[in-house]
Amino acid sequence: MTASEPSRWRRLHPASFFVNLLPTAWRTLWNLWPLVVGMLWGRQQGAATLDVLMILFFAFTAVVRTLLHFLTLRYRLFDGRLEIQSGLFSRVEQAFDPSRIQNVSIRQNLFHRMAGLVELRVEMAGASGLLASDGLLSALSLADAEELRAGIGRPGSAVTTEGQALDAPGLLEVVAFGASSSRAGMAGVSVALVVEVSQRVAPGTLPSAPTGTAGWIGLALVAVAAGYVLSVGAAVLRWYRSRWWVDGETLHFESGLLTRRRVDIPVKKLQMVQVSEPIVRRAMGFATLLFDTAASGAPPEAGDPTTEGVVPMVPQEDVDQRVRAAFPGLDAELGGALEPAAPGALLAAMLGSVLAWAIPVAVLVRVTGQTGFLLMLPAALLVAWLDVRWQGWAVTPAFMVMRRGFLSRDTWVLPREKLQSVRWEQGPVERALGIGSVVIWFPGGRMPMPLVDEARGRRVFAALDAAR
Amino acid sequence: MRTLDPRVMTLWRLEGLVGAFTSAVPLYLAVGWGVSSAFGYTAAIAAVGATWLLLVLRAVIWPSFQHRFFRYEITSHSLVVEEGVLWRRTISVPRSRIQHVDTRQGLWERLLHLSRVIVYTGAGLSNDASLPGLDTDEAVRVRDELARASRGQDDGV
Repeated sequence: MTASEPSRWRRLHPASFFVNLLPTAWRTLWNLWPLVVGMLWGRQQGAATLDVLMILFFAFTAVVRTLLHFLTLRYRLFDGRLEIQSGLFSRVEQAFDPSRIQNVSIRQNLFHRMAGLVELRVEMAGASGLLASDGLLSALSLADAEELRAGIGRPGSAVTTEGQALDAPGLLEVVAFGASSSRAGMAGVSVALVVEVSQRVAPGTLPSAPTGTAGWIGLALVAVAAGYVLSVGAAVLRWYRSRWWVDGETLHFESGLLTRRRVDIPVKKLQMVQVSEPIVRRAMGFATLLFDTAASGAPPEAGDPTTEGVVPMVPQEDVDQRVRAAFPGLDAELGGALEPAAPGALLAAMLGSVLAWAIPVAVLVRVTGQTGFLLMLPAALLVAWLDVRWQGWAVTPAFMVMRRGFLSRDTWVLPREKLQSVRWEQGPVERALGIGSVVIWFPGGRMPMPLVDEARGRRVFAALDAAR
Repeated sequence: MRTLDPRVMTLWRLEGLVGAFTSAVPLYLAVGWGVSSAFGYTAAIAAVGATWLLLVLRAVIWPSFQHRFFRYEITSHSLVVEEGVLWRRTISVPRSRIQHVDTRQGLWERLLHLSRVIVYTGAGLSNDASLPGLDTDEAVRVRDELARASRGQDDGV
């Protein structure tokens, strides 16, 4: 099967029904979470029958969706394109030009592995959402997947690991990655949910609300600890046995403990590389590399919906070399000095911090009665000062480099040839201070430069605008 | 640089006045509830009335400023747009990067014979630039000119 020879319509593997059933049921349940919360919240004596009926209804819809997906999906290579049809009542027909495919990803969850199948997704440029710009074939045999990849010009094994890895973090490094990316926010919501559910199921087991300063500090510590546990667990599931390598024209990424993922990105389709250094990870001596293409519909489990390739832990001394492996023509020094932000940027950042935190702090003080929360305001000012102090930027003949952040420092590297549009932006405060920001739009994202003085900013804007 | 058709101010005023009676209702409810819980019903009614008056005044006055600060130009290699009253932006979209150009007409625009031209590049986040109040014939001409200029060029994607 090649893209130039017409081929018959093919279907998903018959085992796809069983492979997809649990993930579909989970997604159905996830999308109906308000109903589930309502069931728990409004639980009354004698309502058990209604609860069972609701659960059976969810299960039935999941089975029907999975069955329809298997029965209606067809794919083929025809007239130089990959074509996919699906849907019963709402019919969808997609056509993908191989030259426009940004990256191809292969996924194998436990059920895929047991059945010897893979999920293949082709990702295109565009921001219409997770499915509108992607071609998803949820269950193919290995042979069909490799034949299809060859047909769209991306030959190679669907699952076999190839090439000398540039980075392959061990278990300890993956745990360190998880510990340095705490999900305290999600943990806080989970703790609150557990407390609320316990009030309804077994009243009095847990206190309904913290009492006093010690109570609130205790709750915060529980939430942070739970956040770290969740982060480490998620990191091991997502990044164990991760590795990446370059074979000259393509970047390859593999990862996952239970669900194995592989993403192949042609170097010419790479739009931007982001170096992410949260403060704890930075103190450990590591950074995370994120590789973006124009496909902004990556699966949300990738951690960042707009990122296709991720290397979770890279030693800081190797970052420059790794970025050059992806961008061989890089003419900027990542470890070198960058242009700082304008002096007025500090005042603008501090004003922004105060405005952003004033209402949440006021609400917290009003609700809890604890004036200690007022300390968050000077803390926000300190973070703003640190953030501006470490901002930097550089525009070279071939690349643009931006750096922002202190608690979570990020550096973006973008080839100038990928620039889609450029903006010069000024709010009223920035205009009064004589500063503004150049914002670069590239395929799949945008990158705001640090605030610079107006004359300098307009010169940079004009230079980027003219050089195409 | 060119300006938008003056009829766009009428369009914006109509949209603003309709919004003051429809889409702003949740705002009135929030203001009324907030003020009444602290200061009573009389004060809440006065606050809602003042909010409505502010929105109506904004709908009538603001479009003049929006029109004054909107400029656009189609050069040999890019579309340049200057817009914004308080938050000002200068946008440059290279013609070679344009993926597709749309024209749109809502109900009020159709009555006023106006159209909006929307330009998309490979950035894909939302529209890269839009020209909101062009005479419909002019909008079609601009759309065709921009679409023609991007054919066969490297789109950088």
